[in-house]
Amino acid sequence: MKLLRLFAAHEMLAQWRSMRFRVIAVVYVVLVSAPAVALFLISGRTPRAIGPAAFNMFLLSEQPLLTALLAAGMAIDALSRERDEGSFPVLSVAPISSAGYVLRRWLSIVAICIPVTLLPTIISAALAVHTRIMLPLLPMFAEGWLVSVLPAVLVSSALALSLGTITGRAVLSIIFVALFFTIGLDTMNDLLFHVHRLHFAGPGDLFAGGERSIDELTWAIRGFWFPDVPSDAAFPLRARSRALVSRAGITGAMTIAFLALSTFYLRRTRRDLRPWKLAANHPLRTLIGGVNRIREEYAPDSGSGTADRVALIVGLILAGLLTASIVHEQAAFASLAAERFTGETEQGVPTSTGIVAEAVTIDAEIGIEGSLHGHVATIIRNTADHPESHFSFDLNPNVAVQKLAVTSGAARIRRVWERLDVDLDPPLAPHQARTMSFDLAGTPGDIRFELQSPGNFRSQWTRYRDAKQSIYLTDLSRSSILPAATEVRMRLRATDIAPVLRYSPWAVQPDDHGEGFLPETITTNTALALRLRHLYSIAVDSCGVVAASNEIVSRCSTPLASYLIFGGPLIQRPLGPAATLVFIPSHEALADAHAQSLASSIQIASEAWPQLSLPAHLVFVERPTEPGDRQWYNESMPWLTVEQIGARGAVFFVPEMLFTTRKPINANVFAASIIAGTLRGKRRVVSEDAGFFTRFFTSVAVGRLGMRKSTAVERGAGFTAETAPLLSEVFRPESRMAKVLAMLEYRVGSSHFIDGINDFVLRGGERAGTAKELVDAIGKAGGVDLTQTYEDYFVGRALPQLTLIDVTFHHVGQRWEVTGSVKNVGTGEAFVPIALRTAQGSLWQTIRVGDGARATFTFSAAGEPHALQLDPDRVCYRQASIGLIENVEYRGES
Amino acid sequence: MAPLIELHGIRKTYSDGHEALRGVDLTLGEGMFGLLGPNGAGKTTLLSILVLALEPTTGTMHFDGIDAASGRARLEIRRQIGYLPQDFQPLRNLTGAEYLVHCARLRGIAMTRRNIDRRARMLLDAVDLTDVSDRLSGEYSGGMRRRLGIAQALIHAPRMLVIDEPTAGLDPEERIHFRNLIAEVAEEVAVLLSTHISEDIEATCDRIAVLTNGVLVFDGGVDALMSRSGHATSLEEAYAAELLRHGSRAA
Ligand SMILES: Nc1ncnc2c1ncn2[C@@H]1O[C@H](COP(=O)(O)OP(=O)(O)OP(=O)(O)O)[C@@H](O)[C@H]1O
Ligand SMILES: [Mg+2]
Repeated sequence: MKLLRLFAAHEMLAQWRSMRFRVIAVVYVVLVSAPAVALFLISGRTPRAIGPAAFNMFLLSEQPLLTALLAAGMAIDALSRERDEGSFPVLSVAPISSAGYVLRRWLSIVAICIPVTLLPTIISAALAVHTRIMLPLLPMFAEGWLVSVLPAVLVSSALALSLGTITGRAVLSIIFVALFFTIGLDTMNDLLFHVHRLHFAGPGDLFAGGERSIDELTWAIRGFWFPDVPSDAAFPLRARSRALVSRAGITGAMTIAFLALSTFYLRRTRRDLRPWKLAANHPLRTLIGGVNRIREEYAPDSGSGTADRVALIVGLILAGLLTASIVHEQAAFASLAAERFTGETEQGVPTSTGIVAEAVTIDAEIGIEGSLHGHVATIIRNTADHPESHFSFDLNPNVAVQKLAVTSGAARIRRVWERLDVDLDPPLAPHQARTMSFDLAGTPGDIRFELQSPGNFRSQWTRYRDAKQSIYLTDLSRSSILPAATEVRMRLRATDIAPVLRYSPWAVQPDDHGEGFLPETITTNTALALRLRHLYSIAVDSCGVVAASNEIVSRCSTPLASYLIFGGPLIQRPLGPAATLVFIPSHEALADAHAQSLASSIQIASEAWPQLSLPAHLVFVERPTEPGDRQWYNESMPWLTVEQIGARGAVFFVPEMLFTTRKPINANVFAASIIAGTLRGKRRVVSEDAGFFTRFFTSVAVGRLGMRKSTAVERGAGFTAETAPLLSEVFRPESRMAKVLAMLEYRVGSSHFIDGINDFVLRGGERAGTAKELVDAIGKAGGVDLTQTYEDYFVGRALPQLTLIDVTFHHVGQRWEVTGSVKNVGTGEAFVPIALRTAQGSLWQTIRVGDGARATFTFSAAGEPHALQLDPDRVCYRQASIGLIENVEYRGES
Repeated sequence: MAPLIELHGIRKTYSDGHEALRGVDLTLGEGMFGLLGPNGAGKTTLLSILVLALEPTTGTMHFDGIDAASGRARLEIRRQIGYLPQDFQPLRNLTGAEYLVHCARLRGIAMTRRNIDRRARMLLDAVDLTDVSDRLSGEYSGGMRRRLGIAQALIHAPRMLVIDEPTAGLDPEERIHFRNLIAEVAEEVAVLLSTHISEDIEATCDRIAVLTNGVLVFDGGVDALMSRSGHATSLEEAYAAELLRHGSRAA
């Protein structure tokens, strides 16, 4: 320890006096802090408030790489100072072991790098604090430094020092490192592949900060939407450090091995080497002489002590352990992937709909690292009139059932990925109930497998599994698990903490829809009694409970498929008696601004739709940005970014990126969400239509609040616009929704339109409603049949294109007769108003034009016609484009 | 009591086949010992073996009775030897005083910081560097560096000081100054000094050895060497005659 201090003190003294070091250190600090300083300079003028996470991220974007260069430079400088300046012979006779010497040398370099690398961190943290008062966020910077900068210092300096010592030359060692981590690693992967199907990825991203993210952050700061900016809520230390182990793993192992090896290459005691016997006139004399010089230069020291050998062994063991842990990780993720593959390809049998979960009692605890321990008691009743023995549940694949007890009979469990099958013996008789008690343990979360794109998980895994060449393998140890509860937030679905009955088929999403199983489409209400202990300051659930303690207790009747608990290191503020705002502590100032408009939005909502009674208590939660969050903000439809949580319409997420806009969020935006949420909460709907209902109600609310700018007409420049069914989840056809709604409102009349929705929502009863029923209710209120409309636009992708043809004007006696027809060159049924403008006012007709059909019309007018117009108010859903005639003027009889 | 250093049958053949030492037997005790030999005779090779920086091809070495071949012994031997290499350079960015303290710590001297400082000052005084002790050693002249090298080699109070060609490149005044310094040191510590200049050891050495072509051709008192050549009036002449004798034999 004393010797280490000496080394470090000497290193610092020597470096501090060297002009070169001072210049390098200053350049380093300036370069690394520059992004954060630049951020600070513009921070007052950006459309989006800049939080500490942005400062931290700007800082970390360049720092690891520059730090690696700095540390390597310091190591090489220290070596050359000793060797080139000729002071090593004296040092080498000192009575310390070579291992001790190398270790202290290394640590002394680390010791000098640490204060230098901390400077930019301190500068950036100070700037972040100066921007807004948020001292509690300083740990974020400390953690960022620990996870991203310190490893770069350790690995880079050790690598440079050990290779510099072994080769004796800086340039040579750089070439060596480059070769090793490219060709060397490739070769190793090829060789390993044949034997063990292993694959190691290089050190690249150990030092890479994230070029992409700084780009995206720049865009975000300029006010554009939704890049991958970390949350201000907390630093995801655990995920980052776990990723670090797999990223640094093989590099770290190599570094340790090199460091241990370098103790034999200090050249303290030059080994005696036997000369090669060569004839004086040997033809290859010069060449062999050269080889001999290399042999001499790279012969390990003789007379190494016990300490050095122990160090080598310890080093090799450490390197081996690290490698083994990576190999183990690879195997672990491979078996998880195999299990998921089985789960997704095997035909699982769902629970029959006669089975209901009457009541579910959950008593659970979420601990550090998102670990779960829980006890769940589910009362299951057979409402059918035949016995049932098979029950299929959905449960997060990372949560294991440790014990299952049933009130009577025996239970057999089978678990594949997220499917949990329970078979009861004897079967559950008709109208009987039985209680299943589960003991659960695990860490609920999502696994992201590091597999090669393209394709969905199944094809990616098949590619990996059946690979015949190492280029198709990936380093599976770099897969990651994103726990449902991290230090940033807790986001638990019911299936994360309890087995939830699965009724819909165990079928996977079609390729263009995403990964995993199709969502549950059949939902029933369950009496839920929940008690969850956790580590966060606040938790809310989709039933509307807000618990500002380490425990949330909730009792409500809810479909489990849409139940959600959300918590985090957040704080709350009441918004009058009827609402609560929950937000990230460092966003206090922003909360002030948004609270105003939130409060008035409640007023606006209740006035805009008086028949609706709003939920007794509304909760708005600022949702911290998730890693990999990438949504595109729709400037013209900001309400789309407020998410409604659960089926009750009481809880809303305001994404952090919306919350951090400096301009207070428009009260109408919240009002629209409140109306839509309340509509959703009043009537249970089948969950396959759940997304549609959210979009539909939001669009209706937006129209109700006078925010809909859109007419019913789709613009097109000659070619047919692409459309999607309104029920489709894929393209989220928001603009089509607005246009179709404009058309519907015209067809049934504004007040009937609202009546129809109220009918569906308020008088629908307990049964889960469908989109079809909603459309029918609207049609019924307006006295029109919307069956075809539903088929064309909700289920189909129809788009009428209407044009006037053969329009003639005749003077018949005292009156005028105008005839012609409307042709639909597009698809779908259209009801289109036609107006005849005359000297004595306008005449109107609405005519029906079927798919690809032609409909004729006749007007008889008293005044002289001016023009015939097709849908001048733009209330008929259709595409208008060049070449379609919508207006025919009368220019007198020829 | 065992002699301080005992070399027996030391041979060194470099890996290119060059025989730098061809069987050297040498016993060293207290006092000052001069190793005289022309350029390329093998002096640095021999000294490197002695300070454990080079492994001999064959032969044994004992230090105070301890066999240098064992790993554990090496630490002990290193503790007992002070070494001033032929091409010595201190650490440029440290002052003379700091450099001495650094060497002291590096050698693991069991002393308090105060005592180490005091010892460093004392040594700096002894090598006449007190005035410049707070200047960076990188700014020292060749002679000053060499003197700092002596101080450095003595900082841990070794039993033997090994000095390789200390006067090479020094002006005559510095050279005399340096010789006197070594003579003073030799009163307390055993000194092994290698040189190719006989004047360096003429006045001070109790015993000298002449090394040429890797072979010790003479080992004894100054007087013995003088008398061996019969008519020599100075050590210089006697040494030259000795070299000539063996040089012609080699030729
Ligand atoms: N590493 C080596 N490989 C091969 N030969 C070497 C090596 N080091 C020294 N020699 C040779 O060994 C012989 C002895 O060298 P050494 O340096 O010991 O002589 P020296 O007496 O110290 O000479 P000088 O007075 O010039 O310092 C020389 O001929 C030299 O060329
Ligand atoms: Mg020499």
